[in-house]
Amino acid sequence: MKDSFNPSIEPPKKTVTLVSSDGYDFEVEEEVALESQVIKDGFEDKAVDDREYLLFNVHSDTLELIIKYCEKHVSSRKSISAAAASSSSSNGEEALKEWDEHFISVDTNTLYDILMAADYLNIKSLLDLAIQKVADTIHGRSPEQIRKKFNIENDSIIDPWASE
Amino acid sequence: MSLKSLQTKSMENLPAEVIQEIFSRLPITSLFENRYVCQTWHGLINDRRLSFMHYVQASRRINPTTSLILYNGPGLYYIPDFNTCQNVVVFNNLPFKSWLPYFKVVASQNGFICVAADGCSYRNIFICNPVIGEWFLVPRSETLYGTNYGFGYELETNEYKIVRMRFCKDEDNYDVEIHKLGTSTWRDIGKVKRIIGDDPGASGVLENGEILVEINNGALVSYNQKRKSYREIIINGLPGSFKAVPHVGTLLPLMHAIQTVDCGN
Repeated sequence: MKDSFNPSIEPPKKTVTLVSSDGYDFEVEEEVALESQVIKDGFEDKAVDDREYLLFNVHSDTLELIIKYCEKHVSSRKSISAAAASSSSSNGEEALKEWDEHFISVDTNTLYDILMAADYLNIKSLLDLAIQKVADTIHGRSPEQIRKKFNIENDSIIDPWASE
Repeated sequence: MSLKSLQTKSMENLPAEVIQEIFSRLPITSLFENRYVCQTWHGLINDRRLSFMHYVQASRRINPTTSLILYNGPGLYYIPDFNTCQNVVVFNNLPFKSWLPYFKVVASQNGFICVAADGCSYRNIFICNPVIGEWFLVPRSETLYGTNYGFGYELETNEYKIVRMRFCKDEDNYDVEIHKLGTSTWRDIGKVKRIIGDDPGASGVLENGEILVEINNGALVSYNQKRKSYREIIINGLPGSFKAVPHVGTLLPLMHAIQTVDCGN
């Protein structure tokens, strides 16, 4: 038993195919796709040679971003836990946080797409990141500024602030 | 599905749970102001589920810090983070001031403070959220008007309750009544034995076990029970001659005041 465990030999990477709403195929490593709780939940039930997921709600532009995010998080997690195992100091989490911050600094439309996709695919850390970004954007803005920023129509019947 | 993709990319069209998750991370003042962005938001902000989510988020955010509420007769001050003692917040326009020019903070919970007139029998007590300036009078109890208060929030039922106790010298125990906010009556829940000292001014215990005593000359005085010694901690931003009574509590979260306002409209 002992001989068969050799961490230096990695098994061949398994991949799955994600298909965007506009019909583009994205081949990604299994563990990257499994960042999505929705994919993970149905994963075991699917046959090994039929691991293709049609993502009706996610456009290829957004899917590309989502995959980038998941790949980064999978690889960062590995290097962080490797650093912890060898008890060498690492600023991996800090660096990842910075990367996240940069990643989510996008225009409102893209942020909206990421939010929708992260919710649909149930990727909790990404959803959290995007939600916090929107909250930060709202904070400190007036209702009028928020409507403009987020493309919201003013349908309020009672708006005590507007008359002041 | 095609219909959905035709919709504009407006934050209004996000799933309700996602919008509420966003709201739950905003400070109360921001939410209060943004109730009228649109009808969808108004409905979601007034939804009772949000008050629960907001509470969970806020307690996660503020947990490791101790906040102090200070009062010195006519004034109310707030120190959000006792560890740094920076950014003292001064509340200048307290809505209940015309009723209670001199007041005591007898209890606090989740951003609400429970205040009573200083120096009398606490017949009138108010619940106030000083951050957004909402307040209301708690119904009087005809049978009991003293002297020790507790104010609590029950997460499971989403209810606020006030307990008050009055010491009965002849019987050497407390009469206890409980009031659920939003109702009009107090309920007698019997008597409890006197356990420890009953100083109604006792205002809180720090995480290290020190008891807060007072604010004197701009410094917080605390008493360490184990070492039987006093300690002074200078608080930046308070006037040098400032004297006040501290109270451990936080003013950060609170959705319920918003709901109260809306009921009134």
